[in-house]
Amino acid sequence: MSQLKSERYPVTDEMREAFVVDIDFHFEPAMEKLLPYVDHPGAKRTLSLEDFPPTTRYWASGYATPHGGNGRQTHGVAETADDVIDVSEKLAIDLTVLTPGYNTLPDVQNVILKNEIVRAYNRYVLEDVSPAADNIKVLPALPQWDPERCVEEIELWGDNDDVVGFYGFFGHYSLLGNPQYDKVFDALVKHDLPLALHGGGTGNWPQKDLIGNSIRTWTEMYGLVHPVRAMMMVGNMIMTGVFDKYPELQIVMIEGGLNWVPFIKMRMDEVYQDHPEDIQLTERVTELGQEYLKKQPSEYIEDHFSFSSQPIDIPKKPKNFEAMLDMTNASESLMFATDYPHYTLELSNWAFESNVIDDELRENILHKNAERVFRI
Amino acid sequence: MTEHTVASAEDIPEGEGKMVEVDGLSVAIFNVEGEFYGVSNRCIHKGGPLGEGFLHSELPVINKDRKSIHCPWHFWEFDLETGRHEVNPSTGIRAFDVSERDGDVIVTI
Ligand code: FES
Repeated sequence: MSQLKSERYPVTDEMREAFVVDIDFHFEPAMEKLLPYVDHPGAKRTLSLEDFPPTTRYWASGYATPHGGNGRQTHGVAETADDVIDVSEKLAIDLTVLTPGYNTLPDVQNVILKNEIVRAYNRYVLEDVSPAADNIKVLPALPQWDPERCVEEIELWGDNDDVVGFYGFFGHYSLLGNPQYDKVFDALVKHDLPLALHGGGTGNWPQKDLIGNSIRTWTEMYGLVHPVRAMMMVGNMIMTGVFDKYPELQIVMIEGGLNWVPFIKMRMDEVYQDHPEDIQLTERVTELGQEYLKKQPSEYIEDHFSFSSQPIDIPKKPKNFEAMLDMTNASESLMFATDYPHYTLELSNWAFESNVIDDELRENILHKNAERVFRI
Repeated sequence: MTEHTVASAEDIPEGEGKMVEVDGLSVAIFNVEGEFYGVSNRCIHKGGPLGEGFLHSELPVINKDRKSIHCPWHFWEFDLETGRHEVNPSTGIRAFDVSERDGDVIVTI
């Protein structure tokens, strides 16, 4: 249930007057809300007795604060349509795109349980929540561990008017350049829907890996692991020819950060131009019969990727912020997000407080880019 | 310098805070073990309200030992006397001169 006090969220008149689309509002109902939609008897029993299934707990933001906690319900929890409406109003959000809150779901070992959670969540949110208001849209969950099941969910919900795309992870899975995901891209393109990818897993790097075992702080774990994984996902999809095979496909990267985008554009172009021949050894490019990619890596980033604003790390010097917005192609690729209800929450105030963001850019960031890519 | 009486001391019990307007500024006043402190109520980071508690608490998050206040949004911690960020003293918020006299809490600007 939402319990927000408006005093905690200083919203100005200009924030309220602007039309704001939030592309990362986590909707995380407790398992009891999903039970009516769970079909599998064993899963129903287990979820009613044991709540959310166990995951390997690698890390928590609370290690880095005097207050503990995992930072995932710092601003409450939205479990019903009324919660979404109430919180959106208090945070000055005009159109809310619900993202599944179960970001640790990838770590659940039991495939039947996690499949049932995805199925039940999608039914609950699309049958009981989004119909309550025209300004609630949904990124249903994809069971990314099973491409066939992904296709089932896309076919089931892809034509629903409240569905604006599907939600997966750039977490610790196979990267999506793996050809097994082509059937998922086929289904998304067929329904003219983008794929949103969010940090997945418990904000971790696998502990048994030499890097993971060396990490000690939340600054490394959250601050760097999400962006590193996001970079790897973007690079892998480009270099395996996903966008040559699916020129209509759009990807929205959520909570992976932004400031690295210019870096990988330049780095990938440079290395690819030096050493392009192994592109012919990737399955998809071989299948397409191409000698090289059709474009430079940076061009695919500009043409196929958008990025959530949260977490926005604004450079102190305005001229650097201006350059960053320019180099990330923010006028076309940046989409406002709050990340409600996590401790990393951001409101739209930053978009009004910098004189390097003019009215047109602000409108693109706050709603137009999202409306275009999500076909809202 | 002008003195502004912003509250009665008994209105702000120990460990609690109160938001007041002084000269058009939003100031968060705190009572830390009987001493009164005042800082800007607007966090320099992303505008969070320093005088507010976390979700499940009405109380502001004061660190008595350090005489500091945590912002309820992303937990930046500011020294109540200087307004400086505890980890990065090159940044901070405005701290005000606050005193108590005859049961009144006074902000001098
Ligand atoms: S707004 Fe205060 S810590 Fe972020």
